[in-house]
Amino acid sequence: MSVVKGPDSEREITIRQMIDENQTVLLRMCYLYLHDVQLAEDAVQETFIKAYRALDSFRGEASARTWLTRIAMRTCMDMQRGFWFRRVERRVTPEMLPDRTQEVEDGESALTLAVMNLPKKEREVTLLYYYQDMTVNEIAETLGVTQPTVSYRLRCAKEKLRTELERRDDP
Amino acid sequence: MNEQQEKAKFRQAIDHTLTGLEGDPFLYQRVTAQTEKGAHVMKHRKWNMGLVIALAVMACIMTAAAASGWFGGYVNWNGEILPEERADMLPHPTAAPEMSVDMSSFRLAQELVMSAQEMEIVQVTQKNVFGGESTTSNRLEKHPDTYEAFLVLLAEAPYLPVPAFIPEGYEFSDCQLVYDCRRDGEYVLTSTEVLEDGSRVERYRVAEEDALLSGYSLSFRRNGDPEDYLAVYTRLYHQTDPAEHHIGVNEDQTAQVMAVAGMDNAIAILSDTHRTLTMRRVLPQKVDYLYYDLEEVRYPDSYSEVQIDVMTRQVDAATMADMFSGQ
Repeated sequence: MSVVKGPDSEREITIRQMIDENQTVLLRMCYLYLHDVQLAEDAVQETFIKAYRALDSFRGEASARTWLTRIAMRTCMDMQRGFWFRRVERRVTPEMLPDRTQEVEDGESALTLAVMNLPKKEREVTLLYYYQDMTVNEIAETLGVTQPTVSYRLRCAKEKLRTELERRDDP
Repeated sequence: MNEQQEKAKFRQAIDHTLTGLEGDPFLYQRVTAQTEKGAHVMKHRKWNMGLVIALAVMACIMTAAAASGWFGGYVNWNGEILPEERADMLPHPTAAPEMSVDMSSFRLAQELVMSAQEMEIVQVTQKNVFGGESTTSNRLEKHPDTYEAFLVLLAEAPYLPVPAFIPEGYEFSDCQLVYDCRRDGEYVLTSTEVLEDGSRVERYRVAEEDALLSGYSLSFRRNGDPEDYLAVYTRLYHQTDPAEHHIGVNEDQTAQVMAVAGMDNAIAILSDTHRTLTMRRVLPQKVDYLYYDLEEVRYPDSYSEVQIDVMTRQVDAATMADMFSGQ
């Protein structure tokens, strides 16, 4: 997607396209992080509001997906740090997942639950690396940590998810 | 399986599991309305949900994942780190009643609560899997549209400090005022309805003269930088022992005790990307009120204090302190 500057109508076209192409995957990422559908929807809306306002500063150095993911993850992190949202992590169980529109394999929901039950810092890097296909460098910039820290957290997460990932590899 | 194959299978598993989560076809309209006209066009009342969740938070199980490294530790108002053995003794919440209600019922309760009008409480009571009842409710709230309107309402509550100034460049974004009921007032039941699934929906109001402003949230944004925000959260508490209050500190954060004129305690929690200043002031006279859970709460040995959280990415801790110094 090319960077668009100029009249508001062009901005609106750009943000609409960004919303159409990215909101579902961002919603799912935010849900996996926040464990709550309504919070995730609020985070996604806040993300696109921020993106709309900052459209002029988006220079296309990263893809629109990466740029939006960065905003969304920071929005989620801020929501979790908020005083009125300060909370204890609840272990997510299968019945807490949103209703599905199609059948899903047990292994797939097990992997999803395993991700949601990762410690927060491992969950962050896992979602950005595996679900959003960001590089270690991009993740480090997003989270404000070093690349070795990202690599370490990914290794820890992968160890915890190994059973589920290997199960998915079975033909 | 190579890395790319792993990622592909990962994404497939997530997307198959979350097929029920799809984008909102009206998101574009809400985003442009909010940004261009300054209107509040929220699909959900965010702070309502935060408070509903806060209810669940107070009754959640501390998981093994949380115990194994969710945060770096706890500090008290003096910046002293809580010893591990004492951290283990912090109250562990019990199972959340909301967790024992199936998701569709909980979602219904949330929607009903979201439908509450300004200064109305909607309380939904549902049977849970343990044979008991679970409740979901909102708070009495007002949502002034401007910072000036916010300040007018805050004049009614001199015990709640307001910022002496707003750092340059930051503009008002939104706010929420939370009310409870004065001790000699009452939450008036205005209607009761039992739904087909057995859920009981009760609506309450408080007379204007009985409503007591007990907290607010206030947020600002700086032009041109969407991630540059400043948020203030203030809350009135019944308190018994301030020594029991501990603040969680993540591994990448440091705690810095500060002296702020007019505040009894202040501690800044700082990281490279985020800053929070939490302050506390004991009130000279108790401000007595009925807590939001609609049952009279008695704290005969308590006193009143106000806690203020200021949160931001860019503003330094000294400036945040100056905003409330001498208030």
